[in-house]
Amino acid sequence: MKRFLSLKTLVWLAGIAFGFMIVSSFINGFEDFKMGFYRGAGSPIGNNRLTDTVKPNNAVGDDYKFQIAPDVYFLKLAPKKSIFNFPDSIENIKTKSKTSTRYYRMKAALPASTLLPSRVRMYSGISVFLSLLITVAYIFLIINLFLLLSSLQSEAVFEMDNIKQLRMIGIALVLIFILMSVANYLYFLANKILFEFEHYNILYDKADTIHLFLGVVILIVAEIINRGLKLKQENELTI
Amino acid sequence: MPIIVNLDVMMAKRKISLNELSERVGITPANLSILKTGKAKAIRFSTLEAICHELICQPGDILEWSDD
Repeated sequence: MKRFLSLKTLVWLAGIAFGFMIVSSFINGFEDFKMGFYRGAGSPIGNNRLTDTVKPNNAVGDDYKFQIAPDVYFLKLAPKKSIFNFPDSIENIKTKSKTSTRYYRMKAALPASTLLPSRVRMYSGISVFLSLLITVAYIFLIINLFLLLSSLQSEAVFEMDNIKQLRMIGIALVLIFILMSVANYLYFLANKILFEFEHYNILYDKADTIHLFLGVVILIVAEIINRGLKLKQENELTI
Repeated sequence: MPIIVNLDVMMAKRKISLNELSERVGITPANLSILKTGKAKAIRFSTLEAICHELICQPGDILEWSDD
């Protein structure tokens, strides 16, 4: 039976794909990372950094321009009335007219000086703790993935260590999904306290189910390799 | 284990060493040792045939069932 691709090639492809995923996540999240960094540092950012900020209707002078990086809240929205409701508008330069729009996801900025209710601070605190756990789970996943790929690189497939690493990766992914779901729910509760919009409902942004699906699939693969290991051991003890 | 391997008994009767028998049968001494010590999970008919041929015996002389 012809092999599709050698194991070594597949291991390299896995490494490259993982690298792409990391770089892509970094690029996508870099703007938010920078904002969070400035907010965390609490350093003044000056008017010139936010000159594109749209002036709210009730703003006086330059008060609307943030002196210190604001708290940014990520909201998932749905229109209150119907799916055919587009309550907002945006200038379309091509047609020189207003195009009806509605927001699906929004980043809302609150000034750093905003006094947050205690429940919001509690939910945010727990979310931060859960985020730390998620980070630890990701690091654990990456370490086990690296160990697994190294082992496969040397053509050692049906080994107990590989099965353990696959199980760890699967469990880490399922755990990440559960932790993200809880963190997102707390974040949703905090957003509901802080925001209310005339035309939109704030929705609970569910965690990406790909983590759960991949985790379970990897656990299944670990079980299949475990069966293979038993067959290999039996074969080695067949004289 | 219910199947007892009496290979060492037949080898002593025929006065043949492990290395010599493994060479004649065509398997490694390590594998023959696994068989002799009862750690083997299975034996191929081709291997059993070769052992019986060299030791001039029946399969029942080498393999015995016990209800332990």
